[in-house]
Amino acid sequence: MAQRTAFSQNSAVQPRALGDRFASIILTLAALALIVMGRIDPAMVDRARAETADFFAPILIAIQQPLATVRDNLAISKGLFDLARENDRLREENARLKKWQSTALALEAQSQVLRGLLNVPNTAPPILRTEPVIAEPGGLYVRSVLVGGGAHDGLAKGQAAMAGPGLVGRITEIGAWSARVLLITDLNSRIPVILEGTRTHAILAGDNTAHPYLMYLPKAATVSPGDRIVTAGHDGVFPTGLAVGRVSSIENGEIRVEPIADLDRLEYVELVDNVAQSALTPELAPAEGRGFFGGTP
Amino acid sequence: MVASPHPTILHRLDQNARRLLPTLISFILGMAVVLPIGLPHWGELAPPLLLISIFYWSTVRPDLMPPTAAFVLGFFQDLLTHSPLGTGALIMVLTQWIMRGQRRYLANRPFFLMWAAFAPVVMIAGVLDWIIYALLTFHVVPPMEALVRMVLGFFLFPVVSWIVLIPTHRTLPPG
Repeated sequence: MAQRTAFSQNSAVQPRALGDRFASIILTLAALALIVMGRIDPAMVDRARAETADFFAPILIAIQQPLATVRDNLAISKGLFDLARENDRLREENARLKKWQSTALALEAQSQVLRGLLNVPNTAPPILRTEPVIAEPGGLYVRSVLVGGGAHDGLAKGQAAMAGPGLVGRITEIGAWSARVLLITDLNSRIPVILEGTRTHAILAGDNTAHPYLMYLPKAATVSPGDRIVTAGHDGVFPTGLAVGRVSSIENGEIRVEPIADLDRLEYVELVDNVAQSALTPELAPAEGRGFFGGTP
Repeated sequence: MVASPHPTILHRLDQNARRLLPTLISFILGMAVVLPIGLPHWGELAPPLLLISIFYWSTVRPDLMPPTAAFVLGFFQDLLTHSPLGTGALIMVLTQWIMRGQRRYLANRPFFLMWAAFAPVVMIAGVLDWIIYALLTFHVVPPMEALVRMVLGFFLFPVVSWIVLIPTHRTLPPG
């Protein structure tokens, strides 16, 4: 009896082990084929990703509320320790900001008058929507976030994403209900910028570190730490003059930029429309899509 | 009444549903990696929670973590994160392949043996991931972050095991 059980068990296990080995070999080859295929046709992979993100977007959006609670609790437990100090700091900052506010208001009024005199169109970027960050699907090699809005909400590929005062990145993949924002720190991010003080053009390039660097800066350009960097907008994709960051270090000719937006803690991003587009007179605007400027990055 | 030798339909349904738990738990752990939970660098480091789960189930209950499940879970993670498509699938299938034969050495043994066995697995997975990325993009990324991820994965292994995997394991019907 015991022998029979052992035998029957064995004969049951044997085909299964064989089947598993066969499956493992086939699936290993399939995975390798996928890797090669992704290399040959990245556009297809991007589409598949956008569709996957779209499929999971409702779940991710649904768990935003509980997640926010988790985040808040983490923040509270950290914040309770130095509440008094934080209060002092905020009071001081508040006083300073009030002074700045009055300066800004005066400058805005002046700027408006001058714009009127020069007949410059108002270039304040219209904020399309504010969307929650529903996932941080970066992994080791990509710096990106997934936002809970897509083509159905009027978003489109190429639009700039801001968090408060600073540029975060741009939409690189768009689904019906979700969109992927490639952060300015990503390896593949290249953004035309200007140094606000000297109006020198350069390209802000990411390399997956927290501080992107400036490329193609003219040799004669003078740069010093603290200089503000804003978007140039001459690629026709980004609005002009969005704040990006400040020069944080210059070492061996390598100029690093500290982003203004806190890219580590993105909860919401504001999507900004392409101003080059909206500033066009209607008869000049392309009939359909964004192809006119080569708007797809 | 004596317990019936023929289990009721409800009982069988329950037992079969429990058999899906390893896959389901792996799926949830794989998804947790991309959630913005507010910990700095969480999304970047993407701790290898799915690898931990697949390693565990392939070792203790290979019947409930077949190669196809490992492949699909890895593929799903590739789509959701932005690692090169197929990398995760490859790593998960290989992990399942290697670990499903190790049950007699690791299951029902002291936990630290299994933890020790996870060290080379997480290391090889990290190196493989890094090499594939370098080959595909012709870009050698500094290995520091991959290293941090491996170490993080290694130390998360007992935590995830004790909080999620071992309690789930106890509720599973015998194979």
